[in-house]
Amino acid sequence: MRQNSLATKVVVVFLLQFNTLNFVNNLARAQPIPVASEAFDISGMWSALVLEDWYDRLPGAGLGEYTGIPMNAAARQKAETWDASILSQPERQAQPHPAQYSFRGPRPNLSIDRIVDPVTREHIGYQTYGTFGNADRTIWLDGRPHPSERYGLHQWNGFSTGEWSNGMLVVTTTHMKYGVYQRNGVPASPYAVMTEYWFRNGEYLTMVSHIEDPIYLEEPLVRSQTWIWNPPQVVDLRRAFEPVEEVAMDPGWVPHWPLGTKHLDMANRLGVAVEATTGGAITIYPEYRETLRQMREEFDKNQAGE
Amino acid sequence: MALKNTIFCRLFFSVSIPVISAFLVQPTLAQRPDFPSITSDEIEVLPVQGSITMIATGGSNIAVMVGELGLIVVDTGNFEASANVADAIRELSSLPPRYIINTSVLPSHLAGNEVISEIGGVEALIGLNQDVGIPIVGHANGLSLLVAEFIDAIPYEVWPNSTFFSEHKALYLNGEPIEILHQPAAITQSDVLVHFRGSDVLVTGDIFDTTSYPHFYPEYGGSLQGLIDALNSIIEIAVPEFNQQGGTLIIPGHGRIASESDVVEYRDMVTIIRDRVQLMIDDGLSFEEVLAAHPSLEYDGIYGHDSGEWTTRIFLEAVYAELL
Repeated sequence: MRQNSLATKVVVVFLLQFNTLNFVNNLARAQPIPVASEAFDISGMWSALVLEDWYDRLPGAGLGEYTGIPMNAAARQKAETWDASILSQPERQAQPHPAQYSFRGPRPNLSIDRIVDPVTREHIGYQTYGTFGNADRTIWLDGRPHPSERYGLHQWNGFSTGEWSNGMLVVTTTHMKYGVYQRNGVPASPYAVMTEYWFRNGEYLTMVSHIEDPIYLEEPLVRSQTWIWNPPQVVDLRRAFEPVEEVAMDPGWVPHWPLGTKHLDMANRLGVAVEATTGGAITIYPEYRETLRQMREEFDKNQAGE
Repeated sequence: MALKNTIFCRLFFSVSIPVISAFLVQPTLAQRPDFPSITSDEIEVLPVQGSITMIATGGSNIAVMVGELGLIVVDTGNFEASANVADAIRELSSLPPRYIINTSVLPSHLAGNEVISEIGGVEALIGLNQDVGIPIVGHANGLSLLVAEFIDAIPYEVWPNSTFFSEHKALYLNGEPIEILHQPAAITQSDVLVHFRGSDVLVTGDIFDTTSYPHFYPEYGGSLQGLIDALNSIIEIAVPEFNQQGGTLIIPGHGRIASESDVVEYRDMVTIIRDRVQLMIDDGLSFEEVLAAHPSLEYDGIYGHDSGEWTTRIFLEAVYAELL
């Protein structure tokens, strides 16, 4: 848990390949390339590159789709008994996505502004816009301390501070609310800590997030997102969410599925055993492909009545 | 070819080394925080909003309203921390407390009453006789409880001396209305919520506790259902500012400053566990069978305890006993 996982290394290798190719492409186009240093800037308009991960990031994972999430048994119980109707509670209707997820989907296209001290003109932070539900984030760069670990208020966006390290902007976020890692009920505890590594390669901005969660994750959850510079993009001021009355509901109404519920949608769609969809650290490693293959063979045999 | 490989290697390492080295910066370790014990004298002072400051102790959280006409102190924590609490209050203001309000008569909430009420200057400010002391406000059900259960354990000097027996009491100080709302059968029979309407801060006592499953006392008139009702009352009172956060801020009995959505998570947790246990009882399961089914598994890492006075097992036993 405390060490960067093999999954992190796989992501890094992938990004190195991506970065190198991108570097060469930019060189060929003779464009100025910001050297990775403490001088680069992430402000501006950025459009999300949603490619092979579109399904995970746009419609979002369906009920029971936990493959690739290093979740533990407690998280699995929470996710399997999570009923999406709970978002109809008046007190949840205006919830934005939490920081643990908000840069993951849907898209988002970002507008990032610099925060400048009005007196000294010193660059003291970044403000991001464009996430679902106006979950705008602030990243402080002026060395201010995080709130009290025991007693500080938690927010959907947590509290983020950044520092330049080895040519990257390293952002540490604490004090996030009880949220989700996916829009299908995979829970994120308020004691999670998210470390984001931001870096630029020419017109590309990449962020790798590394989340440790002592309550719900067996190993760190590592995901990457990339944006492309897009100056004409408009990120409008979206209307704030507001709870509305749609149907009468009793005060204190808390919908949830009973213990033991298994969501079979993904398993049935892909023709695999439900065990293949239930996540866990084992499912993030390449070796799991062989397990999946065996499960599929067994599933086919069972279907054929052998 | 060799030249091409050389260029590629230079490019590769020029990009990869910063990337790899960045990952050598170890992330901050995530953990569930430890809290001081009830015998600790440790305190932590945090501004909340408006005129309200929170002083956290190992006994309970304390809310202090500071204004030009004096202070209101809600709960006074454990006795061991009370000298430090008094010092912290003196640093917040040179004015004395005008009222102490107790959200409960449990010792962890009122043990510091005497020390805090002795913070000087009351006579100079409002002409009170020092011997009379300041009003210690609490619900009358608390007095009944003190007489019946704590008469030898809790000294008379810290008992509430200004009680009310209705469901609602209101005060006005420092330009701000303060509502005291009785919750009849939550943690005990004597719990109250304290709402500072101007500052928009709600003090809940142990009805809401971010560090533990709710510790309700059926033997003192508390109940699971009364607790859920009280949590729903908190949600009804609180108004978030934007994105289900901000607005009304909430000081729990223990743990971190919160907003409405944190109470919603807590209410949902208690309600879901209640529903699960009830379903198992209806199916004829014994308590040990219920325990083996792990009805609180996903919440144990956040609220559960394996040792101490209120373990996960004891909490589930209390839930089972009430629903049986």
